[in-house]
Amino acid sequence: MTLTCSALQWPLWNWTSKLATDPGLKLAEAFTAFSAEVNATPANALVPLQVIKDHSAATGPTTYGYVWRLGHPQTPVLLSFSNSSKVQGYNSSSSSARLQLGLESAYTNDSSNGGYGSFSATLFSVNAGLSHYASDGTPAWDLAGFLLIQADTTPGREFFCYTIAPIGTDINTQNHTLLLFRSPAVSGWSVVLNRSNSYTGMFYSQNSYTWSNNALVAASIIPLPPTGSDQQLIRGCGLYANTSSGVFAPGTIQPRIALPDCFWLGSNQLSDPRRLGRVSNPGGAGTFYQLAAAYSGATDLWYLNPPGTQPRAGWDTVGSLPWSTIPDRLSFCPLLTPGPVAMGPATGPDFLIDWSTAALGAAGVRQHPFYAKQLQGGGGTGGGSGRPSTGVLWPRGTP
Amino acid sequence: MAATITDLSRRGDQGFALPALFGEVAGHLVTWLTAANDQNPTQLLSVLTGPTGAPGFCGWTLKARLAALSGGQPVELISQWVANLSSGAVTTHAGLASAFTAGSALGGHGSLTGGVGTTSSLITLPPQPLPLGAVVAYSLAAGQEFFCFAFSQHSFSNRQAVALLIAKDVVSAQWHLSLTDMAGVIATVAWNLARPQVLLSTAFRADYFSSAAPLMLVRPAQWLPITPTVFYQQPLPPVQWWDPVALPADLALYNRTFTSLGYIKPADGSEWLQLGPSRLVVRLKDPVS
Repeated sequence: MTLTCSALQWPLWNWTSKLATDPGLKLAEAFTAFSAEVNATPANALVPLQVIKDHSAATGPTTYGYVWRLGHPQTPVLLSFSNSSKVQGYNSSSSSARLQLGLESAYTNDSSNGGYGSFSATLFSVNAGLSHYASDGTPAWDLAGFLLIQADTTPGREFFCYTIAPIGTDINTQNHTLLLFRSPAVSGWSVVLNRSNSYTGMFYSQNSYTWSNNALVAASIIPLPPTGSDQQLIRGCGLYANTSSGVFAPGTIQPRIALPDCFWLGSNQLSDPRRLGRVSNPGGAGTFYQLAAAYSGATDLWYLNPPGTQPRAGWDTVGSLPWSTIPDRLSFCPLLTPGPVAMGPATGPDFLIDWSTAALGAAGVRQHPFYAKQLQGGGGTGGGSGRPSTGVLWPRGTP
Repeated sequence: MAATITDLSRRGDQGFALPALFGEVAGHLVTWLTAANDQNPTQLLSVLTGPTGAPGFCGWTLKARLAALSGGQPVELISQWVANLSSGAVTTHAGLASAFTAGSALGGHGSLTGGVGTTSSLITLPPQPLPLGAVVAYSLAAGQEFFCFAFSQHSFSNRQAVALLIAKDVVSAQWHLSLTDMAGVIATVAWNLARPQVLLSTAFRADYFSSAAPLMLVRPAQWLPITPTVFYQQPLPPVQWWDPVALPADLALYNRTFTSLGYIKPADGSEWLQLGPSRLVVRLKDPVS
């Protein structure tokens, strides 16, 4: 199947509602359908996706969330997002929403934590607000909002991405984008959580996780997306794990863990602060839509919608949402597909795979693959009597 | 397809070696440039002024006439790397030839405005007995041609430079010109074909900005275009598209800066030599596979 892009909007977003037509269960519906399709691909037999808990598992009136299972041949992981309050914090410590990633073996599937179970240990846990950031953490989310889902089940490059964002004039709100994607380079599903910045100093974060051999590890995005005044968005970014082991060990050749091609990262700090920007693709077909970030210090996330992209049955097109056209300031610059990374030493230089010019005197010069040649060829075996008595070092001038 | 390199390093006790070094490089450049022009008859590289063409100054003013047209005329790019042999001041610049004024500036190199460049870096003049690490690297592989001259007066962060980098942009198949000053500041000029406009750059598209771990050798080496910002241009420019500009396959980035002539052996068996202060490395041995 090809890319789908599906949108729904609500005049009064009610994330705690358990109605099948409201945001929480519509997200569950889309993820369930995506899971069924990718699980049916034989190559995904060892990395199936599964909904463990959805919106209807909530036990409290202000609780909501989900638990998804990210299958893996060795170490399946559960991704849990849950919140216990409609009142959102305005920084990472005042937010009650949590994104957790933990081994399935560390999970107790019970009614604790508002119905979403508990981990005896997590691999990663971030307080991941959803929503509205008045300075006192109120009001509770009761704004207009939308749910936008991109999904692609192309074998080997599957991804599922949802964005929750407010609509309207209120700019004290935050978009929340979660991307799950497969890369042939790693053994399981990679995760990118991006929350945008409405004001400088407010709550922004980008958390990425991928696999090093059979371990889920924290990751960063490379190449570094453009920042601030560049006003530029690029395609070609991927994940790099913040670890020095496994496939990311020093001295290895590391394949790229490329994000899906339709996502562009960078910075356009002065566009629509509500993060609802739209521009026609100046380089070809399609339309760019802004999913996250608007102010400096935050990485922007834009989505390039190919013409003719269809929504899931019963959903609307991305164009049905109330985007505002951005006429200027932005630059789009795709990258040539980055090649594999040849990792250097853990630090440098190590005089095994990396020789610096800090060559440790004569002994270091003789060990340096380039400098050592300058000592050869004069009749000796290196240094001393082999040197020419005048002129330049040797050999020289010989292509 | 590894590059061909020539070691032109010199001892430091033979007097002020820089002019003679540049003179020697000029010979290599002319040889390569003649072959490169023969291979690319629709594009023409030329040396407007060489190291001996401007008394009291030492360096190059180069011109690349592209096959690409702008306003019906071939696009012409110019780069300048010129050291003042009295003050040590280095003028580096890259831009469009339309902003070049031939004449007495820089001892006869002429004046290039617009574009990007610096005038704040220095070479070290006599009497310091500094040795010179110096390498010329080039390739004439079709579509992957380049010529690079990098040298280092010492290992500090203000005495290393890529004085010449002439390379095909592998995206547009047009020449582009680049250099660094003595402090690692890049100046690059290229031409975007698909949406015709000049592309200026002062930085590589880095995977990782730090010059410490993780150390990564990455390809293709691509430039970060300077885009008009809201702070510097009114009225605001329309939404733009930039084609990438990328260096040939024998060139890559390694994120250790100011380590001219460092040597890197990745796990695939290839071997690379660092050229200049700004992450550029050149392949001396192909991968073993």
